[in-house]
Amino acid sequence: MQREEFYKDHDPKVLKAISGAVIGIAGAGGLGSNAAVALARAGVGKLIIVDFDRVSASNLNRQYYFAEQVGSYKVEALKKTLKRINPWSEYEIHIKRLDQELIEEIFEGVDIIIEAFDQAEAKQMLIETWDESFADIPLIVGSGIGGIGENNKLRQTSSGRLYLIGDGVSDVEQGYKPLAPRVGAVACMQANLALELLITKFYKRK
Amino acid sequence: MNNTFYLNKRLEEWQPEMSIRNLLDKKEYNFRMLVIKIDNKLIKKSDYDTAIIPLHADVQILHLMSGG
Repeated sequence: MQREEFYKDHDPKVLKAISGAVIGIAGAGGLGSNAAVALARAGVGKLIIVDFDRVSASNLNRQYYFAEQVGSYKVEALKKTLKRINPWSEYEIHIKRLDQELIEEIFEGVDIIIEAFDQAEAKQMLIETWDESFADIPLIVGSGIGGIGENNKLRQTSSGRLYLIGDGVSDVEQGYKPLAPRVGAVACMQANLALELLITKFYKRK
Repeated sequence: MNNTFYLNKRLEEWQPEMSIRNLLDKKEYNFRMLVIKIDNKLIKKSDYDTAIIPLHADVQILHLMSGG
């Protein structure tokens, strides 16, 4: 496969706006892995993905991994998958548990951060760190991904450059089980918004 | 209308020295994790007890759900 063939159906104006962009993804679970795949297919220039965890069998109901990858570090498995989809984008991975210091170090210089953590406490920590260190770039948070159906309840809310995507209600820790369709829908909404923001920023600059 | 502030774009009665913690208790918000802004400034969770809501403030409270 040649690069030109891969990009044959891409809109040149969109590609121009996103091929030089860098997106940081905090977490490579249901949200992070699915968002990364969408962004790689779209042709975002570079993804920086951070996660400390390994793939488990129970992840396969919603996360973009395969049975033979169970036991592998998520970011290593995901990088292989992304390379198989789009070998022309760059994928920087870190097997680390993110804390405030690492967030500042690893995500320095990115254009957008996608929050894809599992725990609400970790989401809050990322939001507070972003507010201190990265508030001039967009942060796209997933919030409310559990359950089935109710497509019309998935929505985007924002406050300044902070965006929340999900139903805002279904808390996994409160018994809402996450499954591929709804998790994938929210992850793709995060990726879709990231592209929109990159394109808007790129053409506003010109 | 004078002694009021906005909470998620709805008018609420304002009281002097009302902290974010007081507001959460009053409204019986029981979500563990929230994104709270006063006049577009993010309030850290550790500051909920001390962050006082100014008269006519614009307060935003968003729920943060676990799952990823």
